[in-house]
Amino acid sequence: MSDTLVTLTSQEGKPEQVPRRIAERSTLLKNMLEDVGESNQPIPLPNVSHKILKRVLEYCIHHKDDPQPPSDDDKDSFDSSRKRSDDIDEWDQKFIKGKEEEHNEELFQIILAANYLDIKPLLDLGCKTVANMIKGKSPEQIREMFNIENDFTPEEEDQIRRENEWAADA
Amino acid sequence: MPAPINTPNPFLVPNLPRPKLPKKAPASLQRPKKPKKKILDVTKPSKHKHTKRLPPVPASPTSGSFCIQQEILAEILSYLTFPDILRCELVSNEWCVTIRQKTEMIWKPLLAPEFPPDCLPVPYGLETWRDVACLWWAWKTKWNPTITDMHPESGLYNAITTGTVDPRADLSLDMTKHDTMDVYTEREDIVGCCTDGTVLTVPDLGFNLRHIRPTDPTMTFLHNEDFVIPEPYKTKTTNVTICGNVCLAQSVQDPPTVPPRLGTLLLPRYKTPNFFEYSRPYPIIILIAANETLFAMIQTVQTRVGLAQTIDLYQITGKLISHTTLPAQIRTINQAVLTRFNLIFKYTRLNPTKSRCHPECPAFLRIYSLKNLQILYDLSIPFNGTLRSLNNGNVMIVNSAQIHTDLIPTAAEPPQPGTVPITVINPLLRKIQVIWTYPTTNQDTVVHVRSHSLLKRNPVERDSRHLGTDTYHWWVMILRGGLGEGRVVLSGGMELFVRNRSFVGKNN
Repeated sequence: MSDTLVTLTSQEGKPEQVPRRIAERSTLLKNMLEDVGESNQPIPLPNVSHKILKRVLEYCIHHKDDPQPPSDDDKDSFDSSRKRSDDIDEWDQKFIKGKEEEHNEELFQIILAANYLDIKPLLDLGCKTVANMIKGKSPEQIREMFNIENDFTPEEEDQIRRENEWAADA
Repeated sequence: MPAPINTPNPFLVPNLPRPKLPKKAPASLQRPKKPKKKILDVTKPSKHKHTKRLPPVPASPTSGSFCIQQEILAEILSYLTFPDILRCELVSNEWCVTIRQKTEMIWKPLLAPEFPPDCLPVPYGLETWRDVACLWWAWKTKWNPTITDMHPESGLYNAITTGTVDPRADLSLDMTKHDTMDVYTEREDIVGCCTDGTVLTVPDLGFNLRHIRPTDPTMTFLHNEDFVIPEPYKTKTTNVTICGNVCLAQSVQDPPTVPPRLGTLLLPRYKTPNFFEYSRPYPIIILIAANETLFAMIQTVQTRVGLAQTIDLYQITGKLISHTTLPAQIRTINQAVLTRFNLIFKYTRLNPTKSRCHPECPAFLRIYSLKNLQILYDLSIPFNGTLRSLNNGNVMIVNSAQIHTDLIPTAAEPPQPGTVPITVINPLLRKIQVIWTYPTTNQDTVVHVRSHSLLKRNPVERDSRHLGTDTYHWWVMILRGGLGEGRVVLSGGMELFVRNRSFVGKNN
C-alpha cells in the first residue's frame, strides 16, 4: 500500500507522481488519502506551483525515513526547550538555500507550501532560516531584505521606540 | 512620561491592511475533486482532524513584498531572541501587531531556558506573555548589571548582583573625583578595602543605609543623600569590595536618567495599575516568606512596629501561586503584581548563581519595592533564626545560632536578672513553662517562650530540645520598642497574642 503511487496536480495542472509514503510526509495529504482510501484520482494542489511542489517533494524524499513529528494533539502545549534556529543540518541548509537569485521568493513559497500541506519539519526549516536572516538586523535592514513597507506614522514609530528604549542598550 | 493609564495602545487594535479572508472556505481548504469511485463527501466530517490552514497569500503584486500569514510570521519570530523581537516591532505595523498579539507563541519560548516547565511564570490579569518576558529580560539584564556598567550621564554605578551565596566584587572607585556619594544598597555588610589594605566596615565608610526617601519615585533604594566621603579616603583611590547588591552613585541633584524602572515600563499596559501608581504615600514593600515559620515571624514584627501600614506581606510557600492557596489578603490585590512575585521568586530560587539564594535554602526572605521592583533586602540565607525589626521599620533576620549562644538561657538556668515573667492566660497555653523577657540595648524586647510538646507543630518554634522524655520548643519574639502587642499565628489556626505582658491564646 505504501508503494502505490499518488498523483499530485500542481497549480499549473501538471501531474507529479510520488510514492504514497512520500506524499504522506504531508499531514494534509496523509489524512486525505486515508479518508479517500484506494483511489487513482489525482489530488489537486491549486496553491502550490509545480516548481515549489517539486522542491517540496525533494525534501520529502530526502526525509522519507525520518520519524513523523508528533501531532499538535500529542504534544504538550508548550515545548519546554528553547526554540533554536541553529540546529539545521547540512543538507537542509543547502536545500533551503536554493538558488541565490531567487532565494527569498522561493523560500517563502516553500514556507507557504509547507504550511498548506502541513509538513511541520519543512515549515520549521523555513521559519528557522528566515529567523536566522532576521537575527541581528535593524528594522530598516529587515524591511529592505523582505521589501516591507514601513507603514508606521512617525508618531507610532516614535512611541514604539520609546516603549522599547529601556531594552535598547541591553 | 508613561502614557496615560487608560489610553489604549493604538497598536493593539490596528487598522491593518491585512489580507481579507474570504467568508467562504477558500478552495485551498477544500478537499480535492471527488474521485469517481469513492466519493469524498466534504460535508461529512472526516475521521481526521485536519489542521486548519490559511491559504497562502501570494507576494504583493504592487510592492513585491512577501506577504505571509500572521501565524507563520509568529512562528518565524518565535525563533528570535529578546532584543531581536523587540526590534522587529519596529519593522511594520503588521509585524508589531503580530508580536503583541501572538504573545504566547512568540514570547513564551524566551522563558523556556530560564525556567523549568513546571515553574514557568504565568501572566496574571491583563498581563501578556510579552509583559512577563519583558520583566524577565529587565530582571536579567538590568538588575544584574556588571560592575562596570556606569551610566554615562548620571554616573550611576550599577554594581554586582550576580554571584554565589556570598558574592563579592571589586569596585575601583576613585574617591578623589567624588565629593559626595549616594549609596544604594540592600545590605549593610559592605566592606571596603582600601588600597593600603585597610579594611573598612560600613560605619567606617560613613554609609548610612537606613534612610528611605519614599516620596521620590526614582529613588526607593536605601540611600543617604548627604553622605560625604570621609576625609582620609578622599585623597586616594579606594578599592571597595562589596558584598551584596550595591549601587554607588555620584551624587547629582537631578539625575538626567535613572536606572530603568519596570513599574514605569509596564505601567501603560495595565488598565488598573493600582499597584504601580505613585499615589501611595509609601513604598510598596513586599516581604516574601517561603514558609509558614518565616511568615509568622514577620507578622509578629509587622504588627508590632506598625509595618502593616507600610508593608504588604505575602506568603508564598508552594511552587505555584494559585488563588486557592494564597492567603486571603493576596487575593484582593492586583493579580499582575503576583506575576512579579511569582517570577522573581522562582527566578531567584532557580537561579542561585544570579542571586544569593542558596539552592537548598529552605526559606528566604526578600523585600521588594514594587515601585521599581528593586530589592531592598535580600536575605537569601537559610532561615534559621528569627526576625528583628530595625529602626527604619524594616526587619532583618538574626541567625538562630547567635540566639542560642547569646540570648537563650538554657533550661536549667533560672530566669535572668531583670527579666519579667509573663502570665499565661489562655489555658491552651498552660504547657508553656518558662517565659522570659528582657529589653535589649535598642529598646527592643526579647520574649523567650519554652513550650511543651503541645505546641510541637508551632510554626514559630525555633528549637527543639530533648530534656528527658519531654520535647520542649523554644521560640523567640523580639518586639521593638518594648513589650506591646504582638501576634503570632500558629499553624494549627491558633493565634498567640502578646498584650500587656500577657500571652493570650486564641484558638481559631
